[in-house]
Amino acid sequence: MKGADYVLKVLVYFSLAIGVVIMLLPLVWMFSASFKPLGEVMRTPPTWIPLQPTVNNYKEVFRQVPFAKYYLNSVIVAIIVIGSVLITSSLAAYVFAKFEFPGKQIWFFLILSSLMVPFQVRMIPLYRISVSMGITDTLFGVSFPWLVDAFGIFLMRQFIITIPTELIEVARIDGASEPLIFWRIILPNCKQALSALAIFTFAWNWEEFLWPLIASNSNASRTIPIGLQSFAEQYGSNVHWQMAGAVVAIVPLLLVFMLLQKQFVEGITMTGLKG
Amino acid sequence: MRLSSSQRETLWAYIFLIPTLVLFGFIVLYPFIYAFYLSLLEWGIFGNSTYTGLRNYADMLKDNLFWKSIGITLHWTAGVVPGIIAISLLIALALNIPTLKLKGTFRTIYFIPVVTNMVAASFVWRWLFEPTFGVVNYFLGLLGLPEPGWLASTKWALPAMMVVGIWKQIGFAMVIFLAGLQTIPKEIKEAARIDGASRWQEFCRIVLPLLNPTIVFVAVMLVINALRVFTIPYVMSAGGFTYGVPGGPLNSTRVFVIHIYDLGFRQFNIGYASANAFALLLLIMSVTIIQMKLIERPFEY
Amino acid sequence: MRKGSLVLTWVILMSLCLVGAASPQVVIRHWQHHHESRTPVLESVAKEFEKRNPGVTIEFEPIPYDAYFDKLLTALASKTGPDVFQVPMGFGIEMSRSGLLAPVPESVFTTKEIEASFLPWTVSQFKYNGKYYGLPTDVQTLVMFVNDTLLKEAGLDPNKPPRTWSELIEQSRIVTKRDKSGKIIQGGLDTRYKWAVINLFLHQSINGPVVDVAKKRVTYGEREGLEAWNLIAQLMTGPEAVDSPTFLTGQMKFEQERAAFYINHPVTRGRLELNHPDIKWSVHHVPAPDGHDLSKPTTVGHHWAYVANAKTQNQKLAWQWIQFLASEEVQRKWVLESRDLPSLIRLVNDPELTPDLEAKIAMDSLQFARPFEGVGRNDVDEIRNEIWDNIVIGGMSVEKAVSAGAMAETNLIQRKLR
Repeated sequence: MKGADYVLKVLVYFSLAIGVVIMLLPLVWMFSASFKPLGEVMRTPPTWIPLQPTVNNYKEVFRQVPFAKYYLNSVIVAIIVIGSVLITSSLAAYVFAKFEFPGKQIWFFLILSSLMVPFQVRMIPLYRISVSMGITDTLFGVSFPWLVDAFGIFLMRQFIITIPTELIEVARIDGASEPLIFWRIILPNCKQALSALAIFTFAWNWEEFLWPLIASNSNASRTIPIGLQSFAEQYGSNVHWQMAGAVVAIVPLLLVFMLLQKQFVEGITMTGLKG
Repeated sequence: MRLSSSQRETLWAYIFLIPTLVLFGFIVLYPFIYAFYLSLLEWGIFGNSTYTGLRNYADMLKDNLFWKSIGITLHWTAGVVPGIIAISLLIALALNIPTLKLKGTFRTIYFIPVVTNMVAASFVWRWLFEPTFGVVNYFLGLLGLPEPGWLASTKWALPAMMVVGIWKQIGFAMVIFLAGLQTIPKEIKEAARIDGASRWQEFCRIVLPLLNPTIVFVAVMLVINALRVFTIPYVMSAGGFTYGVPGGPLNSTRVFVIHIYDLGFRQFNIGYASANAFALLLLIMSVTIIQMKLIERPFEY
Repeated sequence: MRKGSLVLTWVILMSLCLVGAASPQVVIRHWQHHHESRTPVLESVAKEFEKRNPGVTIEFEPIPYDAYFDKLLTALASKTGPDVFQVPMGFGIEMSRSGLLAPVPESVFTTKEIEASFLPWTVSQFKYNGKYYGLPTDVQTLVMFVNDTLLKEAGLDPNKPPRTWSELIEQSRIVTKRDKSGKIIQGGLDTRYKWAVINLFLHQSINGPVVDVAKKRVTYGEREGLEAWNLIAQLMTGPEAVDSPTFLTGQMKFEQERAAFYINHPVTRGRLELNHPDIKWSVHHVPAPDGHDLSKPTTVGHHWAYVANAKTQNQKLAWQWIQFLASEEVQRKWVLESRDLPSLIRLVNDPELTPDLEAKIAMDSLQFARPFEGVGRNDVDEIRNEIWDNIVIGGMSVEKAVSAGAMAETNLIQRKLR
C-alpha cells in the first residue's frame, strides 16, 4: 500500500511538472523575446537564452508609446469595470438567488443569454450610443460595454444561494431594511466570491483591445492593449517590442492573482458551490 | 397604503435590479434590437442601405459557409469542453492531495495561460506545431507516427487550435474545481476508506456526485465560451505576420464568430453579418435552454 | 466605514472620467494606420501644415493596422468618422461611387492639374464621373529580394538572378533542399506573402485587364490567367516544389535565411536593414514571363489614397491638407524617410531620391508598373487565396480551382457595381 502511494505520488509530481512546462512555455518565450532583437525573435527553433541580450525593446516601448499614461488608463478602466461588475452582479445575484417575483425566470434567462451575443455584433450600435451620449474618447466610454456582466451574476448567484435563508429571515423580523440586509449579511458572506469575480473580471478586461480602440481617439483614453497592438504593422510585426510591453503589462495580473489566490480558493470553500 | 409581503418582495427585487437592468438595456438590449434592424437591410458600407425584409435570412440558409461554420463551431465545442473539464479536473484532484507540496505555486502556474498574452502564446504554439521543425512532429516522428501538416492542413488545423483552446482555459476551470473539491467533507471520504473502498470507488461514488453541480456550472460557462470563440482561431490562422486568412486554411477553422466578423468587417456586408449573428444567438440559446433544464435540478434549492 | 469610502472613491473616479477634452477652433481629424516609419513623418508634416495655416489643428490618430478597418467602418457606419483618412486602392472604384467621399474641389486642384502631375495609375482608381476622390500615398511596386549567400552556396551567381519565369523555376529548384523524408528544409521562393506572388504573376501574364470593370467580370479564368496559376502550381506542388505550406507554416522564411527569393514591396528594405543586418541580400526586378520584353519586366503597382469624408465641415481645408501630403516637398520625405515611392511624375527620375542601387531599382520598377486590379480588398484577396489553397493544399486541378474562383469574384463584382 505504501509503495503504491509512493509510485502514485511520483507519477503526480511528474505529470504536474510536464504540465508546468507546457503552461509556462509561452510566458518564458515572451520574457526571453522581450530581451532579443527582432531577427532573433523570429528564429525557428527559438533561442531561450538571448544570444544578443538587449534592453532596447523596453526603451523603445516607452519611447514610442506613452506607456505610463496607457497604464494608468488601463488601471482606471479596470477599477471602474470591476467596481460596477461587483456591485451589479452581487445585487442582481442576491435577487435571483433569494427573491420570488414575477418575471424572475425571464430576466435571468435574458441576462444569461446576453453572454451569447458576440461582441462584434454589438459594436456598431454601442458606438452610436457612445457618440450620442458624448462619451467617446473618455475612460467611461472605454469601460461602458463591460459595466454589467452576466457571468458575474451567474457566479455570484451560485454563492448567494448557499447562504442560509434563515439568516435573512431573522434580520427581517428584527426590522432590518433590505439594503441593510444586503450590506450586512449578503456582502460579508460572499466577500471571497467577490474577490474571485474581481480577478476574472480584471484578467478579461486587462487584455480587451477592440472596443477601447474604437472608443478612443487620443492618448487621453487609450489603454495598454492598443499600445501593444500598434507594434503590429502592415508589412510586418515588431514582436520584440510587443513582448517587452506584454511583460510589463502582465505584472499586475500576476501580482493580483498571487495575492488573492488563497482567498479565492478559500472563498469558494467557505460558502461552497454544493448541490 | 400597505404592501403585502409578496408585493414588497417584488418591489425590492426590482429596486435591486435597477442598475443591472438599466445598464443591460443600454449595452445589450438596445444594441441587440438595433442589430436585428440591421439584419433586415442590404447594406454594403459603400452604398445606401435598402430594406430587404427577411432576404438575408433566406440567403443565409442557402449559404454553404453558414452551415460549415456551424459545423466547425460545434466540432470545436465538442472537442474543447470535455478536454478542459477532464484535464482541469485531474489537475484539481492532484492539487487537492493534502500532502502535496508547492500547491500555491502549481495553482499560479496553471492559472498563467489565462493571463498570458495571446500573441506570445500563438508564436510558441505555431512553433510547437510547425510541421517540419516543430516539437510535436519531432516526437511523433520518434514514435513512428504520421506527421501531419497541422496549421497548414485542412484536417489538422482545427485540432491544433483546440489544443491551444484547452491550454488557455484549463486554469479557469481548475480554480473552480479546486474550490468545489474542498466543499466535500473529509469525514465522508474517510468513512468510505474505512469501509474498504478503493480510490477509484471513492472517486466514482463520492467525489464525482458531490462535484456534479460544479461540473455543470463550469460546463455551461465553457460551452457558451466555446460557441462564441474567436480570438484563438483568429490569431492562429491570421495573426501577426502570417498573411493568413482568418479561419483558414480553406475555411477549415472558420468558427462562427470569425464567419460573422469576416462578413461584417472584412467584406463590409453588415446586414448579412447581423442576420448570421442572430442564427448564432438562436443556436447558443437552444443549447443553453437544454443545459438550463439539466442544471435546474442541482441548482434550484 | 472602509467599504463606504471605497464605493465613494469609485463613484468620484467614474464621474471624473466623464469629463472629455475641450477642442480648439478648426480641427482636421486625420486617421491612418500606424507605421513605425510613416507615423513620425506625418507628425512632422502636420506641424509644418499647422505653422503655415494658423488656426488649424491636425488631429492625427495612428491606428494599429490589424484593426484599422474595424475602427473606420464602425465610425463610418455611425455617420461619423475622421475628416481625412487613408484607404487602399482596391476601395477606389466602390468608394468613389458611394457618396461617402468629397471630391477634390476645383479651387484646390483641377482635374487637368492632377492628370498632368501624377502617374496615371496612382490616381485612376479614384476617378469617377470626371472627378477625383483621392490622392496617392504609400506607393509601392513589387521587386524581388535575393539572398546572395544562399545563391552562392548553391553554385549560382547572385549577380545573375532569374529574369524569366523558367529561370525562376530552375534556380529555385537548385536552391531548394530536402531532408531524407522529402520535406523541404530550405526553400527556393518564399511565398508567404501570397498576395504578391498571385497578383504579380496574374498581372504579368494577362495582357488586357485582369478585372474588366466595364463588363463587370474577371479575366483570369482564361488562357493567359491560367498560365499564371499553372506557374504557381509548378512552384508549389509535386516533388519539385520550391516552397510548401508545411515548411515553416506562418513563419518568416526569407528573413531567417531559409529561402533564396522573396517577392515583396520596396518598403521591405527598411525592415531587412534594421532587423536582419547579418543577411546579405540584394534587390532586383521581378522575373518576367518567357518571351516578354526582359528590359521592361511588368510589375504590380499598389498604393493607398488619402480621401476626404463627405461629412466634413471643412471640405476645402481637408483637401488642402491632402494636397500638401501629396506635394513634392512631402513626397520627398515619404520616399527618403519611409522608403515609399513617389507618385508625382517629375520625381520619378530625380537622382536625389535614389541614393543607392536598391533604391534605383525600386524607382525604375515604377515605370514598368501596372496597377493592381480588384474591386475590393479582403474579399478579393480571400477569393484569390482560396484558389491558391485549393490547388496547393486541396489538391484540386488548376482549371477547376480557377474557374470556381473566377466565378466567385465575378459575382462579387456584379454585386458591388450593380
